Amino acid sequence: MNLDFSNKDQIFREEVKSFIEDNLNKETARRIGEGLPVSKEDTQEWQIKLSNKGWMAPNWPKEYGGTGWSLTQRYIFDEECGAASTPRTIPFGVTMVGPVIIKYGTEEQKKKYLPKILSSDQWWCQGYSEPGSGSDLASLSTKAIKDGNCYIINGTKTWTSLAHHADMMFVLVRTRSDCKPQEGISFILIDMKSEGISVNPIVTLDGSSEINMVYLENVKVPLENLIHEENKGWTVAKYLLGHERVSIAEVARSKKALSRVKEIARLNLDGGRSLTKNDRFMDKLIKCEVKLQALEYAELKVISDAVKGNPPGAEASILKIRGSEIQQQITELTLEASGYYAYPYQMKSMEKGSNEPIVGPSWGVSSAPKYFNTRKTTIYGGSNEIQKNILAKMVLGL
Amino acid sequence: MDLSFSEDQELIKSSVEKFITDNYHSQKRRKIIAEAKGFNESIWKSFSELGWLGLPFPEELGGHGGGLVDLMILMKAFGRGLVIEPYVSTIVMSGKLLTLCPQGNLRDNILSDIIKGEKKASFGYAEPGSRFNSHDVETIAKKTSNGWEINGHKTVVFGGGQSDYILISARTSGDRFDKNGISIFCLNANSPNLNIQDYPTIDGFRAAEIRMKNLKIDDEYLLSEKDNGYEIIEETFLNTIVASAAEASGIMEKMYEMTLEYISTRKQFGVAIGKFQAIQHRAVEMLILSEEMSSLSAMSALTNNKSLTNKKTIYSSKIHIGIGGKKLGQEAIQLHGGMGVTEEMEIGQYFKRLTLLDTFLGNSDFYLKQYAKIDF
Repeated sequence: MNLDFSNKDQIFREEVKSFIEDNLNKETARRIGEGLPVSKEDTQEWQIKLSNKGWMAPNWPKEYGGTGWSLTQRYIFDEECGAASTPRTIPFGVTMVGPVIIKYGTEEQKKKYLPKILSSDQWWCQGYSEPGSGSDLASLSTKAIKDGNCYIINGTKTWTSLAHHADMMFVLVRTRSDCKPQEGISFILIDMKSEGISVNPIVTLDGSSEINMVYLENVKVPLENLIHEENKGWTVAKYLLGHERVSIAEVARSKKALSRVKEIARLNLDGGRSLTKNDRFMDKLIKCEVKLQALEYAELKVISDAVKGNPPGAEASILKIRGSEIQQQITELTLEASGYYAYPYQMKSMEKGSNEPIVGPSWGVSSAPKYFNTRKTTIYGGSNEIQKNILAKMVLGL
Repeated sequence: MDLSFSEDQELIKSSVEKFITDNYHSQKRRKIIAEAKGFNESIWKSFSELGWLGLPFPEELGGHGGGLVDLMILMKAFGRGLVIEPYVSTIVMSGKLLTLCPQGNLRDNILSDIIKGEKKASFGYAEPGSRFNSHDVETIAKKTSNGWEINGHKTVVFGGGQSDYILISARTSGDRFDKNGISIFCLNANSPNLNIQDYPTIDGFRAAEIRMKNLKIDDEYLLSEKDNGYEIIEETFLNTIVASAAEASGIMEKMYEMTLEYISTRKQFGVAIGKFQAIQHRAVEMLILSEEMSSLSAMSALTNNKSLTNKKTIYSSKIHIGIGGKKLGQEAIQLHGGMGVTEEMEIGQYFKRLTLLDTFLGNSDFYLKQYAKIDF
């Protein structure tokens, strides 16, 4: 057992670092580091640089344009991106639907969609949850009815992140009702420019609107947009969720965010003293770091096992549970450190290029919005309650 | 011992609850928040007519002589209704501060105007470097021949931009952290050399940055005795915490009820999610946290009803706003699932206010430390 990276990995790390150094927009990195929102253009700028370098899809096999990296190299890449505050690659294309198309898609589907994900020409969103189907996803009721060479789709999808920026959406729809709910679901790709689609933003507690309601009214979708077989969508969805759960631990980003809390704690905020002299605050900070270290090791273990040919099972839910909790704790610490500067509502001054005067220190501006927004992490991607159900059933055998 | 309300207190309770049901629904509140001033004149007028603006003031000053228990009843209902009018900044905080300052023409006039609902006041105590230490005062008042010249910056002054009078603490002698040497001054909001930067707060209220540059005022605008303002500030804080705890108690009770309603009606897997034991136990824990807040709030109002003598009960209620309130608030959002993080749902509006009530006047960490100092 050892934690050392090989020489080859060290060299790879240097290569990643220097690529980031040369290509990352410094202003974008600063904004991400301070918890400020990133525009589609900022993300696109970064994705195109990755794409040009051939690094857009670390998780795809080489023959489809993936990097061909080992799991360790992928880990190093994520770690360096987190540490440098790069924009996040939008996961719906490259992390979610990409692997699905690679595994279940026809040759034609692969040719049609994969290159545009790699080049970042097409942005994707995920049509899973519905107003009546959240944790109980299999109860979804958006219907697709065959009509000639098309499906006619009707229903409502919700919590659809970035639907307003997306060119394509992958959806779960009901194609059969006279069976177990899971056995009547299909996985279909929809062009967001289709007639009958409307996207309504949902404003979240922090005042931002990254998520949407997507209404589908008699939307015509060609039959060839079906992935895998009709009524086999649940198998596809489970395959995809497995991918989502592992990537959701966010260790590298949390390490970066926690180091920022430490910097803040070193400032003289507390009546001429720094918060590092405040034992109560420091206890909370250190307890959070203890959890984060455990999570980091757990993630490395998953990678190490996977390298040996043992892919993660239900244990991945542990990473999701603790990872999401740690993300929340970090925003809580920043909120506490901000003191009275958690109060001012400064949505306008958070926008890129804003000249609005800031109240309080610049790092405090996003502290309360981040805290409120981050409540979502224990809810999305399969709520933590659902993750615990999975663990109780699959790992504990209860 | 009798822990039931008196007839008068029942009357306050039913009148404020009726007012909120009839006149202060969520759509109205959201409209008021969007207005330029962040409060509504006609609502303020109703507060005056209903006697709430004079409630906590002694009769000899034109008030109704209410005690802390009366204030608690009102504030708890304000919490349940998520009232965002500047009642705490004007009546509870500035009102108490003025009441504790020595009698004088200026003070009496302001108090009378406030009680009549004609003027509003706010109190600036925090500074950019002070965090929660109210004796950390770097704003300087220098004696001139016929008055004072003030330089400094008061930060996040609640209701500052909504006020006619801004009360501030300023140093008239001593060093930065000395408790002696702090005095309380009154500033007219329209004074030259006074810069007021008004902004909304994330919980729907308003606050302001108050900057004073060579601001000259007459002698009578020194409200406290020179150098002896700190005790007044401390007592004002204690009084305000009692009101704040009552507000938190109303918010927590309401959040518990809204969550119970949600888990009783939201169906997944063919049943209301409240049928799952894992959810039930968490909802019960929320009920207990809410009951604890209610108990601590009542305890601090009762034991201090005549004079603010029992700091421990007051600190306890403040600490529970932070620790119990945070837990209850986070659980309420989690049990609402995705709906909980939407701006549209009322639960989130309550969550934001409850979260920031921990910070108000110092967070739970700060008061844990103060509490420990009392006995050890």
